[in-house]
Amino acid sequence: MKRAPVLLFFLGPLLWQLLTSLWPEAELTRPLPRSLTLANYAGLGGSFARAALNSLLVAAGTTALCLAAGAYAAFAIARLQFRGRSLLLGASLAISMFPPIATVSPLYLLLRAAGLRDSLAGLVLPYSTFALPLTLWLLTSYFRELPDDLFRAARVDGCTPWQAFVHVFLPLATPALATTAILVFIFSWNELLYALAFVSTPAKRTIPVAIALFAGEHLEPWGQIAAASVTATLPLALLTFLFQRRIVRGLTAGAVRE
Amino acid sequence: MASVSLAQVSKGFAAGEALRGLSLEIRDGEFLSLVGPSGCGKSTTLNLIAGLEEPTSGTVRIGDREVNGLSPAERDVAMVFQSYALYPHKDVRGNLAFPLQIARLPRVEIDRRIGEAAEFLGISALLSRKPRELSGGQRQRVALGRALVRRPKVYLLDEPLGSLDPGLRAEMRGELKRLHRQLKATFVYVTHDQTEAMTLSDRIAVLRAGELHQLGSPREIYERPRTRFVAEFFGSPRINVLPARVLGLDGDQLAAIRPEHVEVVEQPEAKALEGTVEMVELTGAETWVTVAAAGEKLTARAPPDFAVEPGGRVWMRIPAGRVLRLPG
Repeated sequence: MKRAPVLLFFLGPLLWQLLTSLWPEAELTRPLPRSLTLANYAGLGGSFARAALNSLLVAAGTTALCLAAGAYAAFAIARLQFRGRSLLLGASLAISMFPPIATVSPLYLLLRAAGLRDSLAGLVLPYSTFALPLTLWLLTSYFRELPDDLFRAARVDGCTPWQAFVHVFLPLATPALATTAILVFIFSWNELLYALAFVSTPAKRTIPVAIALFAGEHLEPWGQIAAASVTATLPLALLTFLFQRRIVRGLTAGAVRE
Repeated sequence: MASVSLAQVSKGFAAGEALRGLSLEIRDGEFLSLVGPSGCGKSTTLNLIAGLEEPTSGTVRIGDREVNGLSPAERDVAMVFQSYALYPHKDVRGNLAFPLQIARLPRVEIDRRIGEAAEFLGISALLSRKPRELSGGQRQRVALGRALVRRPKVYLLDEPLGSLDPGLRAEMRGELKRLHRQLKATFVYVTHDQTEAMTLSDRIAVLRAGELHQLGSPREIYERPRTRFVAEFFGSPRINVLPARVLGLDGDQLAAIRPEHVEVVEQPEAKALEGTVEMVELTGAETWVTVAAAGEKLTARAPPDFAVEPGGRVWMRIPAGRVLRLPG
């Protein structure tokens, strides 16, 4: 049972959060609750459901945009000859190195000018600027790993580069696409800074913002915050569990010869 | 079916020139092998014909049409790869159908052609298998089938037998020969294996460092090599190349003679070359002896009852009619 301490170390906070969410409000000052309750979950209410929906829309939108734009771009970088290939890849990495806080003000001005401030689309776009480099890097390394002859065979079989991408490379890239999708989804789902800065209407808040703003001036509803956190973490944990193997495979793609 | 012609074709890469002014006429229906060590430009030549790469200068023609700048799809050529390059996510039927679907052939026609090709190659029972469920030989047949269904003008084969084990390789060699005879199509075959080139080809083009050294029938290449490189590339054991004076000939040129034409005898003879045995190799059908003579080393054929140990003296009969002169 050597694994137990390690598991406890990683799962401990999560379990404590779960316990807190089931802890009756009146007993919070006790070292342990005498009974458990679902009241905190019941109390989350419609505004939290709304936030969850917003988060889902933003995360799904970002994921879709990143995959749609990133997959073909990554294929082009990996397989086609054009000037500035490595520059493109390098630049995209450089962009993702920017600390988000440094970009908040200029992005705010940009979004306001574009009329996208305080809208969900106004979150999808900036999220994509951060998630696209990740998409590009993961997928490029995966496409590079696929044998060169496969592309040449598709070309000789009459494919245009686009047809080779659609009929051969895209179907073969499903594991990498799934991995990338999950990582981008998690990033967008968890993002707080931009969501807090660019959205002001309560009905357009995402989960992280909603949780952060739970605390009122005179009240810290720990039980509800815990319940909201658990609710927000659960789908991600489930998703990651389901695709665990693929994620690991996707992340190490290209690292070693198989 | 069509001829292929390359005129003054050069191809430069960042690393250097892969082809320098190569001119080559491949006849309609011919089985032509491009042979040479790795890096000689043989695969580049194939890629240029296929349209996977464009020449830096020079023209490529298929039939009577100049194909420079045309995409592979417009050239009507099929290619077979050493790695097979089957589509892993498609089953055998899907692999065979793919080029025809891209060409938008009607379904009925696609099915008919797949049926024919599968029958021809003996893979009808494998049509619903995935490539990973196939053996190397079966994959090779599918790769051939994918070329076959298209009925292309030209078949390009890039070391198609290179990944097979030796026994299977000999079997597939026979299969390729049969295929070529029945299809009567133009085959351009890249290999570094001299045996494959000799047994399969109508003509062989020997390339080295991007230049054509010699073009001719296997017999011509073997019996009348024009350069030292060609002479040494074909034949096993390797041909003996010596300064002409060693064999009593004049000139600064080189003289060459194949080991099977040099006969070792144990008794002194009038015109025979005297030497010392260095090594005796028994290969089964033949016994080969390495002899040091006049400061050179020669390989010669010994009679079955040859019994001289290394260090012993022997004499070599060198028939004048078998001696080749090569530029020095």
